[in-house]
Amino acid sequence: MKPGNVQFAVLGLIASKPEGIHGYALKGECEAISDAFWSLNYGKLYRILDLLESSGELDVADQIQQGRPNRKVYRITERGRRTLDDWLLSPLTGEAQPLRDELVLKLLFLGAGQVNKVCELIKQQRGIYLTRLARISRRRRRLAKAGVDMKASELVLDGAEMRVRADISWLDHVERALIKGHFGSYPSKQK
Amino acid sequence: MIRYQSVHKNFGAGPTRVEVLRGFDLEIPAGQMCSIMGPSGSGKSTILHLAAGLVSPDSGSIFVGGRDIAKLDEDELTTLRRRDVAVVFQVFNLLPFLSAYDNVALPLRLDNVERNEERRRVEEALELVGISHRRNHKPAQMSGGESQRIAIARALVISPSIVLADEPTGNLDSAASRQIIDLLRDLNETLGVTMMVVTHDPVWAACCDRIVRLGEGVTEDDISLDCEARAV
Repeated sequence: MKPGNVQFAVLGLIASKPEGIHGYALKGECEAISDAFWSLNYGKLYRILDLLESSGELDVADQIQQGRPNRKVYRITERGRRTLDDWLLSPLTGEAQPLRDELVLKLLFLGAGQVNKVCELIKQQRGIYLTRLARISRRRRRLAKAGVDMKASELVLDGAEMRVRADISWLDHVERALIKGHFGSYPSKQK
Repeated sequence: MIRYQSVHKNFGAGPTRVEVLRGFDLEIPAGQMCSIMGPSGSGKSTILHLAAGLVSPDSGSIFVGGRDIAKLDEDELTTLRRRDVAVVFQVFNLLPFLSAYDNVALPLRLDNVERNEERRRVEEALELVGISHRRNHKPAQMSGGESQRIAIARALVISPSIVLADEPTGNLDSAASRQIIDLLRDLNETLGVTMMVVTHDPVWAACCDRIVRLGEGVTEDDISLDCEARAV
């Protein structure tokens, strides 16, 4: 995942906790939603939190604990909410593989009222995958016409094609779910 | 060239009425290979059947080769299908009691083409699809891929300017599908035939110059694959 997206994921998780959340719990939430594609250690998490605090996206308050050191509780500010919304509604960026992760994140944090925007993102991403399939297809034909021994290269192209096909199937699946209304909101509101 | 202008098409009436196309617009330039995708019931096959004159629009115009086919009578539509527009279906629609040669020759015989001319054109079509060696076999003696090649030869024998294909690989395994996809792509490039292919298979669609994706009876997305794909 691109570093910028981690920052928005952290912001999204904090946004889903209006009562605020402290660093330890936040790390647990990060792991719960993103274990498959993203690892985040405490050092990196606190650097991101400091950055978001200094840019005004987060408020920090000390929570007094009896017999233990105080701990910091983070809440999203209005500015932070605007930053998050701007990112959620912005076009996807980058290459196909990171794109999938980025869309996963956006799906997690987009609200139910933003379904049309998600459909736009899906459409955009489907176009990227279809273009990728077209490249694979042209490459396959070019190699065949050039009389290249296709044994190994065909297997590689088969693999690339299968992956893109699976990605497109997933997009179709998400789109169908959205159209049917099977769409939650921020993670904390799904309970 | 194929052009749809504000085409509306409904099926059924009363409570069972289904609005399939709702002001559909599309222009496919001559020589382009365009795929039509979309979920089930989005109107993909209806679009193809309209261009073939197999169904009529409720309103709007469909220009095929410069003529509005909604204004043609049955005889004119028949002539259009015998000489200009060929259709390839998912089911091969070959006559089981005729040889491959006779199946391919059928459209020419219906159009009273002279026998020597018929032989020349049938041999040429069989050669184009690489199936000459099966000319005397009946459909039951051929594989699915070979049968579809015969169906494609039957489409090409009239030297059409437009070929419409409705899920042409839907009944084939992946190896045969790839061969048919490559064959149609080659024919589009070498003969310059305009092709419209209805498919649900993204791999198939990505072999075309352009993908039009339907949603709720209108164009939802229109993706040109030409420049970007060829640049790689």
